Amino acid sequence: MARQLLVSQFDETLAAKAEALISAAEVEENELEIDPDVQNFAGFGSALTGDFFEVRRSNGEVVLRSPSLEARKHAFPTVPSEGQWRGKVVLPDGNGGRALAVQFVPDGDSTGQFNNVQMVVASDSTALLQTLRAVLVVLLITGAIGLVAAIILIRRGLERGLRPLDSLAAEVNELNIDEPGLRLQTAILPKELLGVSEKLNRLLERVEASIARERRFSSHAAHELRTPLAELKMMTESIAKWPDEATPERSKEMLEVIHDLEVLLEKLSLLARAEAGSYALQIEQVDLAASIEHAIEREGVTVEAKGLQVRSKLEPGSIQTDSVLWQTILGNLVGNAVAYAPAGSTICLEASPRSLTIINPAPNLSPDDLGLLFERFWRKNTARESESHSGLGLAIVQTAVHLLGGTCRAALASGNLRITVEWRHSG
Amino acid sequence: MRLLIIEDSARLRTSLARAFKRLGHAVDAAGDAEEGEILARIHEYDVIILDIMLPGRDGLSLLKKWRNAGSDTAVMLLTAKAEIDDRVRGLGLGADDYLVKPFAFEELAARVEALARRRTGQARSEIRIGPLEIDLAGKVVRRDGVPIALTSREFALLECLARRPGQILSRAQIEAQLYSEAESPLSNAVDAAVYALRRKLCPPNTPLLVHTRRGLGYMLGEL
Repeated sequence: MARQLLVSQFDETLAAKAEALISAAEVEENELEIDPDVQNFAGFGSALTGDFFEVRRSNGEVVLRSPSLEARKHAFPTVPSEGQWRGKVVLPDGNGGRALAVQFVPDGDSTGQFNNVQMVVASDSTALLQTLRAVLVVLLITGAIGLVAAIILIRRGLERGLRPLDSLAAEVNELNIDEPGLRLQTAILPKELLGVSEKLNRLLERVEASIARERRFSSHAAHELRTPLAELKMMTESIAKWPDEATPERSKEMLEVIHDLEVLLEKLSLLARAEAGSYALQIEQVDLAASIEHAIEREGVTVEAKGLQVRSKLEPGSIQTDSVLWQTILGNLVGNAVAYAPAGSTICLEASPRSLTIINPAPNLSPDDLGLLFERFWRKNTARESESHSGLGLAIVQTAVHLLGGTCRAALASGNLRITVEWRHSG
Repeated sequence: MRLLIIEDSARLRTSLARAFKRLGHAVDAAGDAEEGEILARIHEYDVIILDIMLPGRDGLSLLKKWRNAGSDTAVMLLTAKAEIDDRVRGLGLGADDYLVKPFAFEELAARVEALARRRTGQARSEIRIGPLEIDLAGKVVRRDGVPIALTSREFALLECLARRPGQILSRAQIEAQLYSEAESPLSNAVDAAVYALRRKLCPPNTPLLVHTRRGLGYMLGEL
């Protein structure tokens, strides 16, 4: 646009010069003349200024030339001979230029021999080009400066805006996953980052809870495995040192410990397989009532010894389930209830083809325990009241229920523990 | 030596008690911290073998309570937790030694005896009293280089007397060291044991080493 402005300004100057020449042109004594003063004034006087003019007839015959042309003795560039024209030309001195051609009728042409002559004015446009270039350079420079300035400003703005993000990132980087209780500082963050860091804090909580759970599991697992081994080792060393320790009672005890270890291994193995996803379900039809009654029977000795009452409301019908898992679920649920119910109390069982509920009094449990109930090796009392209860029972139940695609819930109401298992497979 | 074992596994508890008794020690046993605390209050023990994971209150809280009360009874911790943190914590709270389950009984016994010896200021495991050379660790006694065969109860009595050479121990004190709560020795059991020991240690025509102080008690030493 600057170029167009400059060019049109240039052309207007040319046109003005042409006007000046035309108005100074008159015919005298059958000759066309233009006042030399005007010529000089308009800058056509010398070849140095780069301005040239020529007056031609339509047949190309040159009537008058500017002194600058005369001095050159080169041909004036050709331009269309009709009408007005303006455009680029190569000047006699070889430089680039612009020319303007306009037809006119000079004053005093009584004979009409100079009508429709053409005034062609040409001017060196090198200066114009230079100016254009200068303008372009200036534009470029200012543009570049502007761009650089813009870049600097934008960068600064971004940096300032990103600073909280940077410090958040630094904070996250420094989080030591092993240090409990670490949280991101949310008080000083802009609201855009608040959501992100709150989410991160929640994730941190979950990770911590998970790590704590794993730690509890490892230390309980260690205890569960090491104690039977210590018992076995002790008994064996005693026999080695004092052969008369090798009594049938001692042998029976050792076998009991070995049995406990076997049961423990079975449970851990089930849990491990379930976790690895390598447990292959074998679905078959199982009579609901019969399987539950059988599980209750298996606990007969303890039920009688503790004077427990078992009340059951079992709907008739069968379920589609994996028999081994189902037996495990029943065995652990009933076994748990029988083991932990106070002597003389009542255990209730309700079953339908879609759910199983078992209720037993649990005076020692508090609402806080509910969250830990299904954790592996968790027991209300950390020690071994009953040798055969490792605290894996409910964890096994939960895992087995999940493998069957069901859900398992625990609730505490008026001192009673209520465990509900629900599933989709049905007969 | 009188021992208290606080361990919640009944099998392990009874095996340990039986084994230590066979070694001639008096052993009391408890299945939880409460019972253990009561026994520790009633009797003076040389060493308490304490399991960390107990029902209800854990063993370390009991240890802490004892140490805070100024008790310096030797405590040997037993635990299934193998982590360094737990060991350091236990020792930091004032335990004298620590064994991880499963342990070799021989090692437990040796360490417990070493603790008992240290407590009476007898770091050395060998005691010389006149012509007697008593090897407490090896449970051997020699008179003028000749080994004398003793039952473990007899050796326990000898050890009890030898740890306080020249001191008079009453019948009650000796009884406390040799017999556990569960045992109710006959009233003259200690006397009988002393006479049996004297007969073995001091053959006729040799200087008497085991002395009776009528109305006071017994003493081991040269006169």
